[in-house]
Amino acid sequence: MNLTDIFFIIFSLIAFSSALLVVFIQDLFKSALMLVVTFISVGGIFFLLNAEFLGVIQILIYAGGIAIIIIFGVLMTKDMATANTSNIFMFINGQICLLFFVLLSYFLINEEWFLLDLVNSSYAEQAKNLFSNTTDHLATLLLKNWVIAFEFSSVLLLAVIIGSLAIVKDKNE
Amino acid sequence: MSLESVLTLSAGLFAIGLFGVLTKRNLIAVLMCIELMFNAINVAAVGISRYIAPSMFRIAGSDLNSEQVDLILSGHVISIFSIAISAAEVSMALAIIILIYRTKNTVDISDINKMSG
Repeated sequence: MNLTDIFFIIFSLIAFSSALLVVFIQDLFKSALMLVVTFISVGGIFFLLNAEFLGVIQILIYAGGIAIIIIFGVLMTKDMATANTSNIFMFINGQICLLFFVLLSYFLINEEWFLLDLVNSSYAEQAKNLFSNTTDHLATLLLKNWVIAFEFSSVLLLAVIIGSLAIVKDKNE
Repeated sequence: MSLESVLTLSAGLFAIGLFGVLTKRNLIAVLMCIELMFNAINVAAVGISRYIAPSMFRIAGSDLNSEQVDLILSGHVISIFSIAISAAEVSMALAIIILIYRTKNTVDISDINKMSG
């Protein structure tokens, strides 16, 4: 067990426990703060998986942007301290989701995956080079193979800005 | 740290998010649980692109150029687009929630039944 494994266990325990707290805490504001903790530990897992750019993006956009938007939304709730309640289907939903998790992880673990071979294969040297500097190669891939989707995502974000402003605009003015 | 542990973490986060979406009564709590599910998908995409070889690696074998090796990172690209779409989804959903709050003065799901017959 090396250092990466230890950090992975720590980050995944933090992610699991704070995700459970997001669901089970009664105070909606505290559960939004727990959501930020989940985002940050998922960003740490991205760093461990050689995805440095995605880790930084995760912390900037999720823990910085989306969490702030959600906290603004939380402030609209009237009695924040007891707002995060569950409906009457809580126990049956819990059993269904537990069954879902068990079946999903069973099938994912027992699947015969075709793994990358970083030791003795023809592409081992290139792949090691790739994982030592993923940001560089990711930029090439994003602006070469996926450039149309990249441009359309910017159009999507512009449309969302205009659309959300048009929705919340007061009609009487 | 292996593919199985990353995928199990992703499945667990997804199941917690699914439980929250099915169970919570506040609209904003449902939105937060949807974000948890998005995060689980991103973890799965990045883990798969770190550990699993693309299908052309099985066929080509010996002669792979650097562009084809770059395709290992396709999972990162998928999760970048997923992050962009989830940012769009959150701002749109929050605009709709603000509109619901203005007209009905509540964000509780069980009070929003205007469309039921």
